[in-house]
Amino acid sequence: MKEGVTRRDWLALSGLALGAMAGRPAEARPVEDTRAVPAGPAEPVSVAKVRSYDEDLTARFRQMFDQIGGIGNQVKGKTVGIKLNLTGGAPFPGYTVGDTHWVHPRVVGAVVAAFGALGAKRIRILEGAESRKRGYKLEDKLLSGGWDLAAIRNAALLVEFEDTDRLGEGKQYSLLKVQSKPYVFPAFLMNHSYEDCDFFVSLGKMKNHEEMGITICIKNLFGITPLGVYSDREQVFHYGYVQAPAGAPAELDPKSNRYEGWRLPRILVDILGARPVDLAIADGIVATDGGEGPWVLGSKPIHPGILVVGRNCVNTDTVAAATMGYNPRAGRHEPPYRVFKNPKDHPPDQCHPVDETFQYADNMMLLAEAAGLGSADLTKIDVRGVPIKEAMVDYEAFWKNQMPKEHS
Amino acid sequence: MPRSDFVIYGELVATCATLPFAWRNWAHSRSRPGRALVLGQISASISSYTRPKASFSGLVALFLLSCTLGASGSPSPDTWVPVRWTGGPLELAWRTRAKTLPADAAVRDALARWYEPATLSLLEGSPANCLLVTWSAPADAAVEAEQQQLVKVYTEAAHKRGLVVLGLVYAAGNASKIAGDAAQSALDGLVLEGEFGAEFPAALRKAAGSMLVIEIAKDAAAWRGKPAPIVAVAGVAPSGRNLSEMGIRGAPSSEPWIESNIWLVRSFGLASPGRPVWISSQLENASVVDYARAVGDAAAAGGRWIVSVDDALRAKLRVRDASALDAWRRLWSYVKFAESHAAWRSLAPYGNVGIVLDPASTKQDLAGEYLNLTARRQVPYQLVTRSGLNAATVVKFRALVATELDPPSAAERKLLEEFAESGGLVIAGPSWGGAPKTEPFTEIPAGKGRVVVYKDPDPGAVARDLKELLSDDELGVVPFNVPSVITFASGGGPGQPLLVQLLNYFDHPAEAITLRVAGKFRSARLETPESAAVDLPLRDAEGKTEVTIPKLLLWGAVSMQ
Repeated sequence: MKEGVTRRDWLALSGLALGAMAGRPAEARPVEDTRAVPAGPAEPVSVAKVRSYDEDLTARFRQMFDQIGGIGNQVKGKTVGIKLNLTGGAPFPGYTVGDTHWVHPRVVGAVVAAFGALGAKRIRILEGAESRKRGYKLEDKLLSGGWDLAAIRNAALLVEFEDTDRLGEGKQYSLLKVQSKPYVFPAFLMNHSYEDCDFFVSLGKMKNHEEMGITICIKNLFGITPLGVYSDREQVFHYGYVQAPAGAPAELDPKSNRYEGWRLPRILVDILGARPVDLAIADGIVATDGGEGPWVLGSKPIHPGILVVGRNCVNTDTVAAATMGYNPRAGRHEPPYRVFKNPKDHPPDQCHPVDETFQYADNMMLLAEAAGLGSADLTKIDVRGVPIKEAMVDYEAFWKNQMPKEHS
Repeated sequence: MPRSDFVIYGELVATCATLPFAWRNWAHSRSRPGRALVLGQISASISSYTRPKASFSGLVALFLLSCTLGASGSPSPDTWVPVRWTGGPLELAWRTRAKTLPADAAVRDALARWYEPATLSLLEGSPANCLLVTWSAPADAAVEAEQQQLVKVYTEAAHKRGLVVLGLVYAAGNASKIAGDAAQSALDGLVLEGEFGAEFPAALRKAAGSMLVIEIAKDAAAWRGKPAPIVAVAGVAPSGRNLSEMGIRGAPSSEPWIESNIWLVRSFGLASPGRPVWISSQLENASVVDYARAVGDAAAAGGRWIVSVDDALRAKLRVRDASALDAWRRLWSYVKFAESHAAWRSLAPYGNVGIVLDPASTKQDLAGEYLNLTARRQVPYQLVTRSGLNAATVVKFRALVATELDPPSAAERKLLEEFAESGGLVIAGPSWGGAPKTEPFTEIPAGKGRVVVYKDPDPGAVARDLKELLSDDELGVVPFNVPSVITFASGGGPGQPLLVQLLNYFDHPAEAITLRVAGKFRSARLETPESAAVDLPLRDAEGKTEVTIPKLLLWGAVSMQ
């Protein structure tokens, strides 16, 4: 360990009443990103234990919204944009994709119903459909996951779906500038829906990620960069092998570190700075451990039974990461940021970070905190509902087969 | 995907010299009460062969074979439901030689005593009517003689039950003796299973005369156009697994690895649509679901799996173990489902994509991969031979995969250009010209359509890209949420239902499958082997029709009117 608390320290600490923690764990933020800016807001975050997707999730979300102070005033009569967390289509045997590595359709339906009940004028379901096919729609992508579109469409008065990889209903892409101090990109082009909504929701999945360590609500935002503009996100954003196309904002320093564990967390924070999140919802009722989907070797389904909701995306991810058993302030050398990449599956230079001896990803929550986008400090976040120590499911132990079977 | 192929081949094929013999047999046959019924079967079998492009010589052969067998009261070959029924001392001797003898003494004993007449009762109530019995293998003469005496008695008993008996030949030997002994034992045919050169099968066919001889061949592609009354192919054991279970790191767009024979079965319909196709695959450590999947996988495109259960299960069946009998009954319930929908076999494959095959190509494995992977990507297609490529055949397609035309002749190129100019999509290889240097392919506009030229066409990439290059209307049938499923569409012609069959290759049920079909339909009915047929609600989807299948255990068929 170079700095920061150990994982053992963190687990010991998290077993205490967090509000009564005597000392704050030392930070493990990337050294070069320690900035002299305020950490940003620390808003209430609600945690709930939810056994299955069959529960009355709408009532649960209404309760959680109330616990974080209510959102009715921001939603009533407004257009709400919900960025879903979808990815590849193959399921783990015996599971649906919505169970493990997409947000679950019942969570989406319940959130839509809750917003509808709060008086939202229009609700737009947003995500990149990741297809070049003519006429392909986001609804097609959702059908490929077995979703009941009618159930979602009928959950509120006006529900729309838009594939934000393309122009969709817009005539041009919107230019959204990074409102915080940018790390890599000063601005992004996005589908109009991200600019046009009054209230923006990141609906993420509480799962691991092979290269970023975790995927919750910040990482979910990666998908709002349109393929219609950036074409190959891996080349442009992950590795920086290809510069953004003409017409799209160029990165600040094309000679900066190309290692994705350094680069992508900063870009994610830039995206968050460009399109701030008004409400973050993390679906951890069922999820994936050890990767972001079944294609990652060693990944497997996990049943944490958790929902986390907060107004601030950084605060929410911080609490969600804690309920996953991770130290939210973990550094490069701690789970989940000490990542494992198979050299056969990645470009050679991406397996040999220039400044470290081990594969790593920087902690995007600490980077966001350093950019003033929200606190990643549990001692400053008011956790409501179920205490973290009661909700916690240790993803790392489960990944290492050290967990009781009831979580599998 | 590595696989070995074999084919059944009949001596009666397309030789005028066989005609008098066959007719003589027919004319001299005894009058039997069942003859009218058999004639009806033959008539039905012929009517199913009246579709365009059926190989005339193949049909003649099948007809003559039907006549010959019909005269003896046996079912006609196109209704044969085969089951591997090996056993006896010769089977044990062969297994010993092949080092595949079961370790369990009880299992060995069951195999040794398999030709006790009581085992025939295991087939009561099942559609099985064609037994593949152990007949010839290298062994002591005494063992072979004992085997053949056992089989002779067993065959007589089987014939009394209306069963056809084919003798398995595992290795080359004295062709005249093998065929002569088979005739003396009243076997209905011989099946060559193993490695054979060219000479022995030819000699055996010659010696066997009118008796059906089944030759095992590795090269399935070579038999696609050959006039055989029945084709049997050594297929894969149908299965599906996620790549990660195989230790392969995939990508988010990766789909499970599926081993299927659907494409293989349908590939034999190119020259002779409707001729019987058998799939031979012996499953290891199989469950009832695995067996049922093998049945459905072969039957979906009109074939039949040579029912082959493992030795351990057969040993339990022999002593009437209750759980084994239950598994046995369940397996046959899937065969019954297939046989009760024999009319599905007469429906031609549906597809707006034509894949051009060149039987003379030296890249037959590559051609097979196009057929396999295009089916895997759920793109409905039909096959077109290179020689059959003309204006009349291409007019029914919206896209043509012409990578086998490497290069196309001037006439072929003109035809393809005109097809594209009238709105079609042509997939071509680099010999077309204009291939990109870096990108995998480039789209060249041509009139109302386009030509997509690949730098280095790869079957997997072409199959994947087809789904994106074509609209839903052009594809015709688009399934959603089917990562573990392969669909096969057929019919849809004037006055015909459009039939979409679905096979699930995972052991877990597939749920919430949506089918989007171009056109308007009045009804959709889901039939499965497990439960009663149900009508599915129809949804309009911008001029197309959608239905959702709530749950698919293993095999289902949606018939849309």
